[in-house]
Amino acid sequence: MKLKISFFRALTLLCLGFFVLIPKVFAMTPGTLVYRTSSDGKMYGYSSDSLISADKNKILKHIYPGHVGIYIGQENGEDYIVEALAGGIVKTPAKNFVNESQGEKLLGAKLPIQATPSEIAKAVIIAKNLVGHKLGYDFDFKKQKGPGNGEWTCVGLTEKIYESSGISNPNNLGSLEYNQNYYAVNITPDGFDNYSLANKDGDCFSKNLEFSKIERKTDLYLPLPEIVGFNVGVEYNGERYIFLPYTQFLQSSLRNEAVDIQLSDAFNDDDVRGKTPAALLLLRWSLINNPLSSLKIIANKTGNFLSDLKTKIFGSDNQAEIVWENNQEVKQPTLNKEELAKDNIITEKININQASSDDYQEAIGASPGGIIESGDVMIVEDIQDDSQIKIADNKTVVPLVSKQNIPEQTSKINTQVIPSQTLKESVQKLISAVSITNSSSTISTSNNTQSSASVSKIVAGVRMATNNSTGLPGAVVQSSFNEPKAVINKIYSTENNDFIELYNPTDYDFDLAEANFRLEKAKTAVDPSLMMRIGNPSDGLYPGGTMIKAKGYYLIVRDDANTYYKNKADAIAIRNEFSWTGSGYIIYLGKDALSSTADEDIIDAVGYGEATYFQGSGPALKIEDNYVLNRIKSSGNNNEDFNLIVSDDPNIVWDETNQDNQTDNNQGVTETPNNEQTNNQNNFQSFIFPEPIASEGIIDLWHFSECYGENNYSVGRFDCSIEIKDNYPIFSKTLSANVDLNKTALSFYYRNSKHSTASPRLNLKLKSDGGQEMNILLEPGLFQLEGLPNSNWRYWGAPVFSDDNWHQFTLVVNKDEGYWAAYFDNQEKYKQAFVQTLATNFSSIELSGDMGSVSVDEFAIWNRPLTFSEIKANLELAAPFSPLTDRVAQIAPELKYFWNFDEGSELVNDSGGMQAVDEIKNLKIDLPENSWVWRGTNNTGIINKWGNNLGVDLPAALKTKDMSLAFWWRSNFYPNEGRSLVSLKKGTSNQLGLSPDQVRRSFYFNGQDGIFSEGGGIDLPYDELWHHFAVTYDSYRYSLDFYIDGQKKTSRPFVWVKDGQNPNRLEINSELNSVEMDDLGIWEGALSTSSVLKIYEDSKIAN
Amino acid sequence: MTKIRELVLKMGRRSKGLGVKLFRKNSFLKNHKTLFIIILVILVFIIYISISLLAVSIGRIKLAELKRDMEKSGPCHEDCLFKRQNLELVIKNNLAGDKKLQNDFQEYFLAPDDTGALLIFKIELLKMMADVYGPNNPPEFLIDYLAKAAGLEELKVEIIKNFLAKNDDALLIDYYFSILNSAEGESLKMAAIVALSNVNHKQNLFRVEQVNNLKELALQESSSLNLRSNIVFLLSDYYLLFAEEVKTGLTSIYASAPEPIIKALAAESLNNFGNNEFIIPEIPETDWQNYFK
Repeated sequence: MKLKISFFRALTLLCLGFFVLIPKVFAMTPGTLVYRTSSDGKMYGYSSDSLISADKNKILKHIYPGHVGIYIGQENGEDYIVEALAGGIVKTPAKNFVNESQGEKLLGAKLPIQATPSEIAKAVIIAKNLVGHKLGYDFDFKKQKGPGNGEWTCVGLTEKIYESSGISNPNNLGSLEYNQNYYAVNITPDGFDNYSLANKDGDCFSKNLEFSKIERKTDLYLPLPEIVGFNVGVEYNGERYIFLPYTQFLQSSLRNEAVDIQLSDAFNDDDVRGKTPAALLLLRWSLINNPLSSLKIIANKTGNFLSDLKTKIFGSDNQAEIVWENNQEVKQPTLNKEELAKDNIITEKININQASSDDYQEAIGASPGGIIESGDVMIVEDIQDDSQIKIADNKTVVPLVSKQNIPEQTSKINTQVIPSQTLKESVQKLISAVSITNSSSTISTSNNTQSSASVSKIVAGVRMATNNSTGLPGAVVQSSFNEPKAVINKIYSTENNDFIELYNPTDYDFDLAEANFRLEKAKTAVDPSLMMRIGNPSDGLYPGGTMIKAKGYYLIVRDDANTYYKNKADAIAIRNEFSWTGSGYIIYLGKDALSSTADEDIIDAVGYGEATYFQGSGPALKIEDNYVLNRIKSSGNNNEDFNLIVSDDPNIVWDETNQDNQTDNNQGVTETPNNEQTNNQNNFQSFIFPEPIASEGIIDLWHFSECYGENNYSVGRFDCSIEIKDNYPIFSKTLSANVDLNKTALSFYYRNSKHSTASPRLNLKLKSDGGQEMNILLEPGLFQLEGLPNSNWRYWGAPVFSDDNWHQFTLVVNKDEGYWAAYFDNQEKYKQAFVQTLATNFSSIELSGDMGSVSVDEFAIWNRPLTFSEIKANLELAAPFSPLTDRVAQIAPELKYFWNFDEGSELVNDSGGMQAVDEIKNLKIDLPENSWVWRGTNNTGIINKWGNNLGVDLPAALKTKDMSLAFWWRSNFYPNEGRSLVSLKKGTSNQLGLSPDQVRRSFYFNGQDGIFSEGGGIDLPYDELWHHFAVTYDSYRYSLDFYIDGQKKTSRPFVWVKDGQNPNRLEINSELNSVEMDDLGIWEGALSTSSVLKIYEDSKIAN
Repeated sequence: MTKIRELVLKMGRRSKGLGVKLFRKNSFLKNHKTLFIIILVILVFIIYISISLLAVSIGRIKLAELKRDMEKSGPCHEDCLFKRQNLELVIKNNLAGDKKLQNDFQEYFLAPDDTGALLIFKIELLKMMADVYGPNNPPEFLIDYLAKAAGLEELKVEIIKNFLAKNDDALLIDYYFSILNSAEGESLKMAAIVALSNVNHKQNLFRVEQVNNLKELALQESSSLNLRSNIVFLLSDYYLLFAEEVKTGLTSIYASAPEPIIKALAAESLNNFGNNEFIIPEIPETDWQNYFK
């Protein structure tokens, strides 16, 4: 008896539709995804039908998943689709995509908006290559997205093809992309949706995430495991999930494509597609095939039953608390009973998985002001309609038993080798048979397959790159059960102060000794040598114990190190082997003895300098003396994951000298800031980059450190910030991934950038694809919040803009724990409980403002709620979040030009010569007659008179954003007081200039001007004596500093000069009467306070 | 023991008596001796045929069945496919030890008819042989087939896919390059590219001079756009090994290739390697249409 098995046919995505053939106007782009329904136009999510339906005999009868394939263009004049069907990944004629006779319906054709033409081309190549690899269908739905045999469903295939469309060689199927950080085109965000309930059975349909939860069907007799559990689908947190084609179809990342090829026909399904292997599917969906999940559920059920029984007999300990019961996972609320009572929160227990209609009504009533997106939650009117849960008719019956002999993919076959010629012989035969006819190239046939040293480097690199077990920001931290994990965060190698710092990226503390962690090293050897077994008394002392905190650091220092480091150390290594040079090593962190570069016990490895082995494409930088190799991210590529930062060792003696430039030019010059002068400037304080805070789960992070762009920028909390104001550009960004408002956090620093003179207002909007918004408004004394449940809308008395300082605002939404909270700095100021399920597809943010200007810095959005302790810690650490944009270390200042104006000492009595010559590059300033004046014995300066402007083009623009300008100056009293602007210019713009007179000290920087100080006798003594002026700009500290006579008088914050705008001309322009000047120097780099003082002291002459 | 012997003797006497009585007393048999003999002969014949049939191995029978099925309905999916897989399982289980079945394979494969369903059948034969013999043990007749100029390109491609491409060997790399540098058909060259792309231990087998060869092939205007673009992709696989040479090669392709698509792919690869200064040219719609042809 032939039984019609429409359920299984549906399972294998065979469907019906109508014939659509648009007149051919233009060809459909290969790479286009085509979607259709299952039979009778049904498709879960698209139609009101359940994914799985049963007949009255409680036998699974239909599923309606719908289907998707990828169009790959024509072959021999025929259009083809690549699709995953029951027979595996196959290439089928496009006309057979939709079967009209089964009532299948074409939904449409779509292309990823984001995909570049080359990515589309690569997607097509990947699809073609996957065909024919005998990659079977994932009847268990356990993987759905490959890469192995039996691990593909239709939508998993199309999703993965585009995710992988960025691989450099699409013919290399071994490199399909499974790290979502590197997806080329992520059509559907990865994730599991167990909240977008679609029917009262508890099935979900996700519009935003790949996997929708499908409840087990406890009313079915067949497949039997549905009664006690399930064994199909991706299992996540005790629930099963299936990726559905219509979820992908709905993504806004796709655009519609016109269909102009034949995609449908009427044909006999059995003839063209064949019949579905019913018995095989039964087997697959059975307890026998994979009993674990079913057994697990049985065990859980038993446990729950016993627990309930205990509760019934002995009572519950926490009856008044809210408990969100999410299958096996019961989460404790954050709010206590008093808080709940205060906020009138619902105090009943609701089981979301077993909610009754009343529960839904109650939930609706409980959230009148909250965001409940229709379709995202079960609380929809349609759910009351029985049409949502139609029971399929009884036309067909699934056969219970089939004795058909189903060949398994893994069936064992005889593999006895038949003697034949060796492969090598065969190939030699072949090579001689191929005639080389059209290439001038010759390829030598080499028997030497031994790899070169450089290749072996890469071998190790490639091999180890796959072992990316690190977890700093940028890396995906696997949620494996409390597996100890750490990474090498810093390496230092100066003098005897060698140290290694470890970082724990996990959310739990663990004992490094208990985890058997150890450090090993190698220079060229494959087998590294032991440096330290953490916790072993033979290898070290452990003043800080051996525990490493969650998100914490652990410093291991050599026992010969100075006291500064030893005082900081958690462990002091005593083995002689605990030392290395900065030129090149690979340092391993392992969990047992390591014997090779591919040892499975390697947890992390960092190769630097000339290291033979390293992770990724290359080693990290060589570790220079006084610099620390510092991890900035964890991509698994040593070459990219580290930078050098200046050591914080206070004992370092810095040398500012650039002897090459100075020694040759200082012969015979007595007044030039000479070698000794600069050599002794031993207090250069190179800017130490703040150690960024590693915080997991950041979706998007804006440091604004670019300082120039489409928004207005100013000096920020850490580097630059953007300014928000009514007539300034709005900051509007699409997020890298959708924000699930149920579990998120956002934070930023802000301040009133125009200081107390204005009452600025900052408006932050988080917008969803569906047009929903969450609005936050900050203005003096007011915090306003719309779009979160139970918000009071306006909260007066909020600590907003109460001063001009930087403050941090953080918002946390934690649906699992039933609250949202707003934090101002480290204070939890507002907190509300809620029970609603919120939308999950917030995809953009917008910052706007009016009534004044607000500076915003370090804006971050997380895909998880932050804890209060994290918020506090973040503020206390006073550092930006990781990753930071790389910037080269700050260098010591270098004197580039120096005019001592001493040429007049021999000539001043004869009116002097006509040129002043720079002591370093012989750059000449033409002077008018009578420009020389005596400053002291054998020491002359110049006088700059009204109408006598001086200037000289520099041979090259200053190279650094840091720059300094210093000179001696003298002016007469009123009414003969003088003022000249000494300025470094780019074009007409004064990029660094100073224009002092007896009453006002004006400055110019980056085309802007201002006044350092004003008033006679203020800062500048009111006399007619020589005084020393210096102005320095430190682009790392964003500070323009002003000095008189070696003393810093004031500072102004400024954003650095834009690239390409560095000054290339010096001008001395008289603005009033005349001033006398001497010893004019120009530096690349920012002079330090003590350097300025030393210059002043060394060049001053008794007045 | 005595009782058993007596019982057996008794039964023998009884049956002997029965036979005599049958022929003596049954007039029908007595009068139709000829008919009886004929029936007997037929019975003997049937037994002979049955024995003869049984002498043909199950593997050969299933192979014939598979051939017939494929000739009849060509490619098929799902249930039909599973039926064939079932047949193939039996065939593969017998192939290694059945000389006649092996001869059948050779005979079927080398049969002159390569049209339609038979071509698909031959490809199926290749897959079965690869499964049984292992990819590093191609039967000699397949290597001969690869070597002969008259061999069908589709089948050569399948031999490479099912046997050669699953092996890592320096000589094979040379073989693939010899195909790329030859006047062979495009599908064979594509098979060579795919095989090169999927070499497992590239670091041991790829050589720096191949980079330049690939560069020249990518610029060979006589080749199709599709083939050349795949050569550009392949060149990327050399990057981890010979970064500078690959950069130079791709830069040369970027500078010299007349087609915007090839330029774009080269630029994209270069930019991915960290040289972000390469401008990706606009690609006219017609170029993409040509590319996908």
